[in-house]
Amino acid sequence: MKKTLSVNGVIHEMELDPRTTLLDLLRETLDLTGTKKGCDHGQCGACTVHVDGKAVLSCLQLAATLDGNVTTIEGIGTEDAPHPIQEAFLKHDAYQCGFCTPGQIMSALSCINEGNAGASEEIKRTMSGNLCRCAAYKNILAAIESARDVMEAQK
Amino acid sequence: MGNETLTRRIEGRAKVCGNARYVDDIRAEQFGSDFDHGIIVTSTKARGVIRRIDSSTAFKVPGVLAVFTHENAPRLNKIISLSMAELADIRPLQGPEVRHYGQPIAVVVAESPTAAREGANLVAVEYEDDEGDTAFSLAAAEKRLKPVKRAGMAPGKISSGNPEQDFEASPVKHDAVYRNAPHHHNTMEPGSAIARWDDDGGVTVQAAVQWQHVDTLVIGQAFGLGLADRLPGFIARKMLGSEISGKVRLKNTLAGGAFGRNLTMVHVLLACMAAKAHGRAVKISVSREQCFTLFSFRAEVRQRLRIGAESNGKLKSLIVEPDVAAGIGGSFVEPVGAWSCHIYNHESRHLQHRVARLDTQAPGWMRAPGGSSAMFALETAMDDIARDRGIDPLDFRLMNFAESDPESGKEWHSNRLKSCFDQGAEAIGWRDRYEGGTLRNDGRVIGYGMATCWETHFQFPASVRVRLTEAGEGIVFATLAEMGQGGWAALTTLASRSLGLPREAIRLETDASNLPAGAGAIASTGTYSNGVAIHEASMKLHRILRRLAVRDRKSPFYGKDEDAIKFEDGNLVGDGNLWEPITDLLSRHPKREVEATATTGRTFGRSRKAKATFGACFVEVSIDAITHEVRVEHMVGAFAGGRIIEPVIAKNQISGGMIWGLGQALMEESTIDERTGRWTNGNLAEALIPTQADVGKVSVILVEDDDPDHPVGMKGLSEIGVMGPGPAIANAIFDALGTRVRHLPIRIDDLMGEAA
Repeated sequence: MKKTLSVNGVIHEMELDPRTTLLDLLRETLDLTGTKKGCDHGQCGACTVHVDGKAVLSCLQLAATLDGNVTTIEGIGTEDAPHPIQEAFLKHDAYQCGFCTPGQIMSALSCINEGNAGASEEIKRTMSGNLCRCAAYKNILAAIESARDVMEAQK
Repeated sequence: MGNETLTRRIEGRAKVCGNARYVDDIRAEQFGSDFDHGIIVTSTKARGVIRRIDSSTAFKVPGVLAVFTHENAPRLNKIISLSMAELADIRPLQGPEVRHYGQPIAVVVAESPTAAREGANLVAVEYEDDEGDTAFSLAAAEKRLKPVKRAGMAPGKISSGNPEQDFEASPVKHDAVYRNAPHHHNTMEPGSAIARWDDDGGVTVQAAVQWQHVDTLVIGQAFGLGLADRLPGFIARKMLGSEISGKVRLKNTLAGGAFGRNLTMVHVLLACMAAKAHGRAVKISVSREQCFTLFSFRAEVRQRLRIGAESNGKLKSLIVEPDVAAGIGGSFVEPVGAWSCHIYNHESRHLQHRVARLDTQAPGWMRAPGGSSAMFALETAMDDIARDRGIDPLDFRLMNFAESDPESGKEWHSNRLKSCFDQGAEAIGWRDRYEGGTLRNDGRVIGYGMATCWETHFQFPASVRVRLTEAGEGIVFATLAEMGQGGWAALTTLASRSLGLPREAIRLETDASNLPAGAGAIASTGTYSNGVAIHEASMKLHRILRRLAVRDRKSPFYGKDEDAIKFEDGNLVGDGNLWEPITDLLSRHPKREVEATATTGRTFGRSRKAKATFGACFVEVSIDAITHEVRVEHMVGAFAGGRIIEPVIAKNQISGGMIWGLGQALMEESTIDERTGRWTNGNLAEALIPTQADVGKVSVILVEDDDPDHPVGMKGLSEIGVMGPGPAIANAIFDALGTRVRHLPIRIDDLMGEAA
């Protein structure tokens, strides 16, 4: 089937196998490999992207049924000009192996943007769909709190 | 680049921006050629013989190109893996026998991952049942238990004095059985491998492994490529005895976690097999569920622990009898016993491991192997004895403090355990804590517990080559794996200090098999073992530079005293304001660069003294008085692990380790179906691991420590955090409820009926 999709502000027109998940589309067709496949079953959060600003598990989303603008980790900042949330992850050493990190960052961003980054207990609850086996949780929490303050100051 | 002070991790920016490529992210452009996609088909029986595999339906899927089974897969030679997690008699696709659930029985290769996956689902397998006995747990395998001489790298048996007599004569006796559930590594990266056979008959492999030369050697042996690579001299002589072919070119890639799992992985071999049979490069990607059967896991352990003590609390005898589950193959045995004999003063000891081979895949190394179960039993027992005697658990440990290693009698290199106790106790408020069982006004009962942490050290053999260039760069060449715990960052810093160069001038070249054999990122020894080699090579380079300078008429050091030259910030520095940049000196050198290699750790760090990292873990738990849900409010870990190279990264690593301990204490267990041998919770929704919300406050204290006998003053850090929380949480639960649980994980149903 034919499909038109906006990813990180770029419009892609493509021929799509209707079985394709958004995750496989991003990774295999568009070569946006920053979004990771940790379980392919919506259990780990590593594949989190934004659709119209809302966090979505791309492994559970069929690309064919998708309506909206997709943003991935590659779309929020670059190594030379990182987004404040990426900078906060660097500053607080909020990762180790880095495999869950893109998903953590995308969830963290929507956690802040949706106003769920108030008390630390609220952040912890909101972020508990993103597993980190290195368990850098303490630093992830610190990074989100610091990015929240930076982002609020920039508003 | 932006602000460099934001991260010490070499690969940090790439990781937070989604640019770090793990194996599954490697495309033709990075690999150097196109590849097809392979998916593994696994058995749905634990024991049996494959009568027929029908691939005809799979071939109807557009894009499916080939199916490899035991009938048409390449034959493999015998493999001995230095990791002990060897494939030995369980080499894949070599015959119709099925020996564990989820064993690889076919590989479907297709043009796309989707087609391969669909094809794999359509491979039909008929089995002949094997009616033989099966056992999937220690409880079902009593008859299979056999005593062993070795456990991992540790002895399987130790005996000294008259432990049984001493125990019988002791006025204070502890005699209990402790159990640790099996559980899996659950790295976030499931795992992929790409292989291509080249025109010279060699194979190029892209994988993420912890100990590059071990996996290189596995592939070399399997395919008869001779001796795979440049192993450290002593291993080459001992294990191999002849030349090395260099035909296995393993490009090591960032690992999305490893924790002991990424050693001798079967999918790496299957990628090589599929590529060989297919005649084209093949990438194999493993699914999350397959991670539970294709790779190793932490074995089930049950141990009887007996401790005899004097009435004043001094320990007298220690009898440790671990029964350890093994799988259908591999020589690895969870090294449970030896730990307990090193921690506290005692007079006599007896240790004997027994092993039962179960009908599962082979268990293997997993973060804090042995220590997790050993320290759970010992530290729970210590708490038990202390509370029975009315002694504070911390005082009881201090009372039995070992001034030297009780097992070997050797003096310690350095032992800051008492400082760990002091600083940890202060951080949690141990000395003025609330009484266990105090009900908070939110309906939760609180309790405190503690445990000693201890970890021994092997220094592994490591070779490195270090080059200093005219441009002022210091390049370290060695196979150095980065699995996330920060080894690259620490070794960069260490090289910068040893060489006397700015940190930005250091570059690591780590990924290819033809580099010198760095030590594996294993057993808390990677940074330490490689660090020593880097330091030694740096010292050699300094000697070369000094000699060059004093003989070079154009150098300000010409004719001066060689020994007075020091190295600072890229310069040679001497008395009386003499200095010259290394770059200037090298610009006059005919080769414009100097190089030195060093191989260290040939004796595995054997020393006249005993070496260990020490630590203490303190926890505060709160337990809902009605539901008995346990929350770990605060975990404190104070650790003395030698000189710390990168404190921020070290704390992150240790904090992660402590959270692993929390997982072991309260949630982690892989459950197996006693009838079929299938892991019943083989996915991340049911095999629980800690999430952000499970973790309370975690405080890591790095206690100042320096090993004066060691060239870089280091010890290991990776696993010391893992073993404390298990017993400390169990002890805190006892403190809160008076319920003693002697198995991990501790679940709510273990605590029900014990209302506060």
